[in-house]
Amino acid sequence: MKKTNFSFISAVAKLCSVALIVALILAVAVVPASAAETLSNSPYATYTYWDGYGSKPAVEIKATHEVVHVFEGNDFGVGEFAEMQHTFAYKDNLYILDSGNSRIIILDKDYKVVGQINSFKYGEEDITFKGAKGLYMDESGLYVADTTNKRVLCTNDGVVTKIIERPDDPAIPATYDFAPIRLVKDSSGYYYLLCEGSYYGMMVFSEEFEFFGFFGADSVQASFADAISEFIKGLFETETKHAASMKQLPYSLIDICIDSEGFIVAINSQTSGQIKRYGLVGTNTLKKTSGYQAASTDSYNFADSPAVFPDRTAAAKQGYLYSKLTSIVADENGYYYALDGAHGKIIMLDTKCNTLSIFGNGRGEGKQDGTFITPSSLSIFNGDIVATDFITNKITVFRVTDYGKTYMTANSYTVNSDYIEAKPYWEQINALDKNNQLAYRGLAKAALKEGNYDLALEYAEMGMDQKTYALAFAEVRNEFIANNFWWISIIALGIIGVLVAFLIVSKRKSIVVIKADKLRIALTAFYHPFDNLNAVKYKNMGSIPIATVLLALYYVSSILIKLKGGFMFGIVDLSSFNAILTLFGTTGVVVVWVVANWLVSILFEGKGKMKEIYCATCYCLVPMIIYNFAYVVLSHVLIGGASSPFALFSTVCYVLTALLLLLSIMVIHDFTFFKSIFIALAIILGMAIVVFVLFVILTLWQDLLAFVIGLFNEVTFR
Amino acid sequence: MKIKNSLLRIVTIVLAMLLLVSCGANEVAVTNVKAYNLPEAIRSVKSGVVAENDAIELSWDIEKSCVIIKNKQTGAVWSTIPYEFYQSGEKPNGSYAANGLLSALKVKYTDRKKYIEADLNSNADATYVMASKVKNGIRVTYYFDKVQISIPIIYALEDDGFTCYIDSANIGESDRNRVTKVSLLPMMASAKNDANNYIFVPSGSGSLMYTDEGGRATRFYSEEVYGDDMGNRGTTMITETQTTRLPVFGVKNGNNGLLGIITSGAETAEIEASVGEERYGYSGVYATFNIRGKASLNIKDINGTAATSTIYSEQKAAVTPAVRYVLLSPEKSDYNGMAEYYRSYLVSKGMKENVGVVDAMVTMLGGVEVRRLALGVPYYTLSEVTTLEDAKNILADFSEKTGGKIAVNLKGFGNSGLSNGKYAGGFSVSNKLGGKKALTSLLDWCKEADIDAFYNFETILFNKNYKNYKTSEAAKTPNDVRSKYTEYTIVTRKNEASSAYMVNRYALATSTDDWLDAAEKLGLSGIGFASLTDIAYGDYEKPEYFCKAHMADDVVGILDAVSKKGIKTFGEGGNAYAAAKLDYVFGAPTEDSAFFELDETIPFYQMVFRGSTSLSGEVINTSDNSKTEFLDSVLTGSSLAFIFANDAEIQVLKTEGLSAIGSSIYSGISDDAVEYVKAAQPLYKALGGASIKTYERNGDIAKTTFSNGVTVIANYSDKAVVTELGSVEAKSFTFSSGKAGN
Repeated sequence: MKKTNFSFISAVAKLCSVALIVALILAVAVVPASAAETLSNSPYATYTYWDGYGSKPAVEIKATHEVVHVFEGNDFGVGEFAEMQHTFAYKDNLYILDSGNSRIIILDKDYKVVGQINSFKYGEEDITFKGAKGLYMDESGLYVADTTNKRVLCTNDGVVTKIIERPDDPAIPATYDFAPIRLVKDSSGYYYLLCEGSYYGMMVFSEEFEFFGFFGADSVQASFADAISEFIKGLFETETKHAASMKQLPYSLIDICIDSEGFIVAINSQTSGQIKRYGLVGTNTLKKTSGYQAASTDSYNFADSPAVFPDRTAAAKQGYLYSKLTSIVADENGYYYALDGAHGKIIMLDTKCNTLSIFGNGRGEGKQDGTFITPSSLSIFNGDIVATDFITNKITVFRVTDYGKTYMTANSYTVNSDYIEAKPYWEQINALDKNNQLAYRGLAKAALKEGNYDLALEYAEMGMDQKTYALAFAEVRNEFIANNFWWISIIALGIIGVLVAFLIVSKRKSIVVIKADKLRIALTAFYHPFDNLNAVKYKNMGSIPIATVLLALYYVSSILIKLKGGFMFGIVDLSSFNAILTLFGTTGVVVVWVVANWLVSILFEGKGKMKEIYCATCYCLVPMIIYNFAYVVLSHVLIGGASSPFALFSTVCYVLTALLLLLSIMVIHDFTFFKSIFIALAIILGMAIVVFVLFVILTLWQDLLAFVIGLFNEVTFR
Repeated sequence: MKIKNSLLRIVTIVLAMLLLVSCGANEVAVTNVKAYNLPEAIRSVKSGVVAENDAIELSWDIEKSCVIIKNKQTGAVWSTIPYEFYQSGEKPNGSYAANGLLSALKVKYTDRKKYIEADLNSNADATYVMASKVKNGIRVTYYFDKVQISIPIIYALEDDGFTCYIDSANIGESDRNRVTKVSLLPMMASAKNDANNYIFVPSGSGSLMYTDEGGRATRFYSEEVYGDDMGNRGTTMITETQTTRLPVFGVKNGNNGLLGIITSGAETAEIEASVGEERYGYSGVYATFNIRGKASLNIKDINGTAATSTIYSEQKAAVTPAVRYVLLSPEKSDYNGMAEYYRSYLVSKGMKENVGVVDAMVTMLGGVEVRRLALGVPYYTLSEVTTLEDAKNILADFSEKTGGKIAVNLKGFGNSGLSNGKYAGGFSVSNKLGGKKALTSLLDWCKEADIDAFYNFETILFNKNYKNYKTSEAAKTPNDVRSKYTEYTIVTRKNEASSAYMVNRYALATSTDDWLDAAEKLGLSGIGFASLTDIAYGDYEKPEYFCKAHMADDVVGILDAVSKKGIKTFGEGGNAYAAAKLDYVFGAPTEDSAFFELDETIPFYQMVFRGSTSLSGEVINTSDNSKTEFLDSVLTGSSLAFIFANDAEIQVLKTEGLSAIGSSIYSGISDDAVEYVKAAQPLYKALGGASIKTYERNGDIAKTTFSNGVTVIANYSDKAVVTELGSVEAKSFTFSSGKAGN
């Protein structure tokens, strides 16, 4: 018997290893390269992110903006610019702050020079503003954030009417560096002044420039571990040392603007949560819908993610070039434009944090139209996006294309929930560009509103919009049930009736459904754990083939969840799905558990044998297998939502499995309950050690291989 | 003990193999490197006229080592030193700018001991200069004795100018120092800095760099002719650039113009320019030739730290670089005159004339290999984007609605679709897309409908062995590894997961029979050669293929052989050597590379080829601005280019490198496409096979005149304008009809 089992096991093992190798080969098989058929004939590409996968893959779309002008100072006949820090558009004029030359060049809507300011009169004095970094203008005059001189010049018709210097207020810390860079004014007449490097937020002033306080400071996110660490330090450090220790400071704000609804929008120097729109009490009101819920964007990366965009420029030296937002503006239609100074890109967003497009490029090396070295500011002038470059001293003007206009119109309607009005525009966009995710989403919403639910389902799935899909699916399902209520009821009642009758009869007549003992023990272990595990232990009723089949079913069902699960409950990127990872995450974990279990039990004088441990462990997977298959079926029937109907069911199955594993330790190794808990923890630790050892072995092999290859290369090329 | 012995045996074998490999690497190979040899006596011809014909006089100035070329009829003078400067007698100081001004050669060489690349220029670094008369010209050899390099160049008179050759076979070198690049006559094609003077460079469709120095810093330009070596390019592209399709450059200096045509070794050349130099006030454009190929080698140590080393090919590229300089008459000294000359030069070499255009050129996309999963196990299969039946329906619909003449290239209909599998897709038709039967049906239908149909083969890239096209025999890089063409999308800035091999150049050159067999087997009357006419690459297996050399010869050989059998040819991009031979050029450049240094785009490419080949502009439905692209096409009398596809699944649409498919779904774009074609048809009818005579642009208004008298005016602005031909609506065009026919 043993010999047969061993042959069988070895055959199964060989088959599994062959299958594993084949799967490995196929999984890493060469992806055929394709001849490029790409959009755009510009030096840069326009793209957007596809939401839904979590990893924010970038997909190229048609250009929303094109370069119409690239100016330098000589084009205006004013000589070269030196350190263009900021541009500001007011009515029909664009004001260019040429800080290095201490002048402001004024252009009209045809980009012709209509004025130049080299200094302001202040009494008898002529005040210059070299090193200034910001401009603001409204009906009351022109304001210059004269950073180097640590003041704000309030001017009107070339005359300084007021100079704002650091207020003398106890609310302002003594070490605070008053170096103004940006000034905006809200509809209530309050001025918001941003100082360079300030992590206290913006300074708020009245119309008469009376200081009110700070607004919009970022908060430091402290974790539980940080709090514990701080507490422990406080116990052991002296007061002096503790006071002198480094504190984690909030991120400083980089730029601010007022959006079309009068909210202050700011950017900071973080790598996520970079853009914030402040409500009345200074909290971030920006939310992004992910799945079914709108969540805060405090940890959302608005820019390119390093994991998705590996950077290989010479400057980055095979590392990542993190995005760094340096400017933000808002147009009158509710769109934000954020400038990524590191990559030279302009990110266009709506108020729901949908990324409409990203355009521009350069990454510190821009030499072509639409590319930058160090882009410094953005402004919106007459519908154009005007970007300046601090190093090249060029002004690049991007104008919206016809495609961009249609796109923005469609999106504006959708954001305002005018789905039907948006429909013809989305149809145009979808006809011209099938890569546009927002078009699918917009069309899905429109179809839902019109009552065309099947079409809504189709578009929602293409656009990876689970929420709209769920709404449409609910209607479709309800309609189906309503139309087929009678026969569904009859069938359902019939099935229930048969099941109940069978249960009653089988109990009365002691009918055994599954005649094979070992199979019955395996399948019923989850609701007769003690009896069945004892049978495995003491009556040799464990079956390796059956256990292996259960393990395989666990793996297959885990795959099926990802591949065949309902759209409303999960979106899987099939193009990058790797079954090997699932294999490691299911079968691999079980195998490591079994091995660690056996090793630990030896240490603690457990009585279980490897076969018993393996069989018992695999039998404990039955609840998970049932859950997985049930999920695959029910996920196509139930309605998705913010709270998943599977949450409770999955929790119950996970807990049940965990309990079964615990009981298996008790029974197989003959431990007490509390000792079993300890052993379970030891097994988990043992698993970590096993994984670590495997990782070290793999790393060493890689290093050895790299060494051999390097040696071969050196010898070859000498 | 047994295990120990086994291990010892394995280690011994491995070490022996390594030693053998290294021995093999040291084997002395046949080389075209010539040893440096300084003659015992340096004799040089005296100053004076050394050669002349009816039109041109060539003189030599021994003191300044300067060659002077004079047009006897017009009196225009050009020289290796800017002539005004030469005449002034000014003695510049030893600065870099001065040396560049006075040098006939700039050289880059590699010091193989120090592993560095260094520069030389003939004025400061040539220890000796030996000039001797040759038939119809002069031979000047520069001896850089300190580094033991000598470079001979030959000037030979032509009827309307002269040709300058680098006698690369006789470049003398030491074992330590090897020449990598030679810039030929940097200041021959030069102009005094002035707002009315300009340099012409062939970036994309062509571009002008004005030589004004008013407040602008010196501008530099450099682009490789026919693009980067596709098998050996860096993988850190940040932005897209246009490929330089033409091996020409020029300068307008006052009333004089000089055109440079690279007549040999163009594939190894870069066009470079230095414009607006302020110290001495001269701008110049010239060709720099790659004498040796180079590759970067990354070696990592055990800690993973990478060191990058540059490897140069041992041998030189087996090519004699040559540039023909044409002295243009005053009335032809501008870019219009340059284009006219180059066009007539190509016609004299056999380029056709009086070739009209079709109303629309269409590329139809077939299929794409996608990754699918069977219970989690990935496999690859062809996803149908357009079957041959779909293609027929689309063409029938488009043809009916436009009522115009169409040419179609069926691309990606082989077994691996647009993906690279077997060489040329195994010269087959995918059954999933319809198979040979459907192809025959489509081609027969096209013949009846008077549509020129082409079946496209991928001629260069492949990933699987087929017949004698094997990956183990693919083209090589200078560091002796098989070339890999890697697609780099600037959106995600990463290479595609895999890349494709490039067929070795010898196999490419001798592949003609396979094309003819394929044409016969599939019943083709037209073959599409997308990559062949679009990219150039080198193969470091043989010196004649180093630095992309002789790519033109190989391509022309194939196109000629195919054309001789009565089979028409369709190409993409259209490098000059191919454009002169192709029946159709799809996606000819209409823009330059948009470098900040380039001041004005001109349609030089179209001015050369319009009327000699049926060419289209860039693809309208995938461009940033369809209207602008439409205007660019009609302005130059180019066909309208479209890419069509029937439908594509989401997985295909989001695939890197295939984003164009999303903007090519016929059902969504057909209305616009038909409208564009109908708007352009009357113009194409009026133009026939006329060539472009002149082009000019004033702000947003551009005008071209054709050889048959037709004038086209395009208004790129957002407002209607009144022109000599009447009012032109915003983003629209108008034309006047010329004489009937041509």
